[in-house]
Amino acid sequence: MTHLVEWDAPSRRRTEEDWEPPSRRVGRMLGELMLTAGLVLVLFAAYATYGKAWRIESEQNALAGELDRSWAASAGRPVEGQPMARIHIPKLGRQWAVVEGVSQADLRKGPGHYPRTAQPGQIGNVAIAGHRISSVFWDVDRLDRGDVIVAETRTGWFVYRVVRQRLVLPRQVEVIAPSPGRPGEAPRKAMLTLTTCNPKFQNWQRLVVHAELVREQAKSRGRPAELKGHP
Amino acid sequence: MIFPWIWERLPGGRFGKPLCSALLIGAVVLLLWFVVFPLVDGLLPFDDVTVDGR
Repeated sequence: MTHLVEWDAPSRRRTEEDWEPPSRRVGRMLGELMLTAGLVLVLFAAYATYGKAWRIESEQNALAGELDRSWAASAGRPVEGQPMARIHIPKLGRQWAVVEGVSQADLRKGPGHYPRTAQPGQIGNVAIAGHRISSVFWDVDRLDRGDVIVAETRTGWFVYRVVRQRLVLPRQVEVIAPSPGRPGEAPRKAMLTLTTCNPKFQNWQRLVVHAELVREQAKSRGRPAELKGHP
Repeated sequence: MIFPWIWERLPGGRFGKPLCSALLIGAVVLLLWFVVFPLVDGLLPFDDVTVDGR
C-alpha cells in the first residue's frame, strides 16, 4: 500500500514512520526544554554583564546633566534617587554622578551615597556603594594606597587619597561608621569609603576602599591638578 | 516537539517561515531583555554591594 503524501497541505500528516515510543517523545520534550533553558540562561548572563552596564551608562548620561542643572539652580538637601555629587577616579579614567540612597532602584542609576553618612569634605565618612560591573566599580580593586579619588560638589573639589583596601563580610557595617572601623567613636578625619561586592559576580564578601581627605579646592579656582588629563 | 509544533503553525512559505521565526525569536529576546530580566535581576542576590546589619 502506498501513501499519497499531500506536500502542499497546511500541515503534514503523521505517517507510520513518524511513530516513536512515548518514552522517546518525553525524552525529546525534556531535551528541548533543557536546551531552551540553557539558551535563556546564557542570554541572562549576557544581560547581567552587558545589559545592566549599558543601562547604568545611559542613566549616568542623564544624571550628569541633571546634576549640573541642580547645581546651577540652588543648594538643596539631597533627595533620595537624585544625584548629590560626582566622584572622579583618574587612575581608572572614570567619573560618576553619585545618587542619594543605596536601594536597588538607586544603584541601578550608578553609585549611591549611604544616607546619613557624611557629605564630601565633612569630618566623618562619605560612604558610597556601587555595583561590581563594567560601568561602575568593576576595577576598584586596582586602587592602591595613594591613588586619588576626587569628590566634586556644587561648591568644591575634595581630593582624597586611598589609605586602605580591605575585604569584609556583608554585615561589617563598621566600615561605613563615621570613624571607619571604630563604630561609636567620634570622627576626627574626613574619610571616603567605597563598597562593592567581591568576588566579581558573587556576594559573600564586600570590597572596601578607604580614602582620606588631603586637600580641598573651591570651584572658583578651577579643576584640581590631580584631574589633569582626566575627562 | 515544541519547536516543530510552532514551525508547522507559522504562516508563510519557503521564505515566510524563516522570516516569521526570526521575528518571533527577536520578540522573545527583547521581552526577556527589557521586561523579564530586569524583574528577575532585582530578586537575585548577586549584586548586593552594601554593608548592612542584617
